[in-house]
Amino acid sequence: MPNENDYKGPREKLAAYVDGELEPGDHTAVEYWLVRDPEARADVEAQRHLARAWQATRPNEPDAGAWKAALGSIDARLRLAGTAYRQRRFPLRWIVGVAAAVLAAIALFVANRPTPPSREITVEPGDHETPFVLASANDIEITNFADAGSDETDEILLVGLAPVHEPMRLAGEGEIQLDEMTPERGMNPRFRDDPGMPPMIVPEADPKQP
Amino acid sequence: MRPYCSHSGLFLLPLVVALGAANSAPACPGDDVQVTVVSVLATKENNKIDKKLAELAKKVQERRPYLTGFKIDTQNCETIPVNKAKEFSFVDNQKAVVTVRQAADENNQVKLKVELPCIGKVCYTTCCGKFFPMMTCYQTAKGECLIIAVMVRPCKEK
Repeated sequence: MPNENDYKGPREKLAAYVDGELEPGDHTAVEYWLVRDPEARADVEAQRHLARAWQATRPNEPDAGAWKAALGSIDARLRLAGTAYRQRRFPLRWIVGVAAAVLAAIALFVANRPTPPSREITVEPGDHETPFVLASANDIEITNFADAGSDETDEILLVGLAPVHEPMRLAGEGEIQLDEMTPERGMNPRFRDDPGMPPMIVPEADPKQP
Repeated sequence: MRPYCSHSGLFLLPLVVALGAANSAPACPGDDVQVTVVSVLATKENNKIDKKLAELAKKVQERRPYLTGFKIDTQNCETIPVNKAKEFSFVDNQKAVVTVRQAADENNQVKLKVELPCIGKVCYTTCCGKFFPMMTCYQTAKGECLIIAVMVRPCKEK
């Protein structure tokens, strides 16, 4: 036990003294300390003041009825939340089921789809740079054009040349030799190769209506 | 025992093989002739002349002055081997059949046979790169006269 005349313990001893938590020996020593040290006494007094203030402003504990009411309210809200969750779970199950069915149908369709004949596609290195190559006029040979006048044809064609894409030149005098002609019955076509005129076959009969 | 072989059969065998080969050999590519056939409708109902038909219209009008309007009906270009025929169709399902009788010779001339509506069969020798017009007597319901013009190519370098 420390000497009663020179005992000066830690400040925590003062707090324990105020709260009545010291052993009997320590309690006596602290009382001697308080007699000799006015600063320690002021400290103890301040702590007692704080303890009184704590006791004065301490809120009341809820009574048993309040606890019971609170518990009932919590239980009621938990039941309500569980019901709502169960109500939401059914549509979610349906949605998941329908989605799974759709995926299964797509998988079946893809698996059973007839496969086209395999074609080996070779990609040239330059294809990535020019995926859409337009043909030039020299790449397109138009062999047949019907029901369009040549003036219209020039406007219709985006690429390529029609068989007649420039003014027609007629064979000149002496450039056509008639080898043989067998007219249809009742017709009398004439081969005309007049001087200074382009050769031409001209009918002598009247035009035939369709 | 040695098998019997006829001496005449041995002589005839190469001849038969040669004739068969000649008959089955395809025409040389250079013997194909590119034939352009254009059908033109001429009318007296208007005076609109296609700019490509200016020369043809002028020459036809010298013989048929009442025809004042000229337009292209169809234009076809086909490559036809020698001794092969090709049919061309025009307005109102009128048709012409062109047969190449001989490819371009050393004078750049081609022999053709053309069968035309209400004209008949025409065999002629033509120059290269120029049209030979043939007026048919066929007339459409609108009163348009059908004219067929034929040209051959390619033109060999002289």
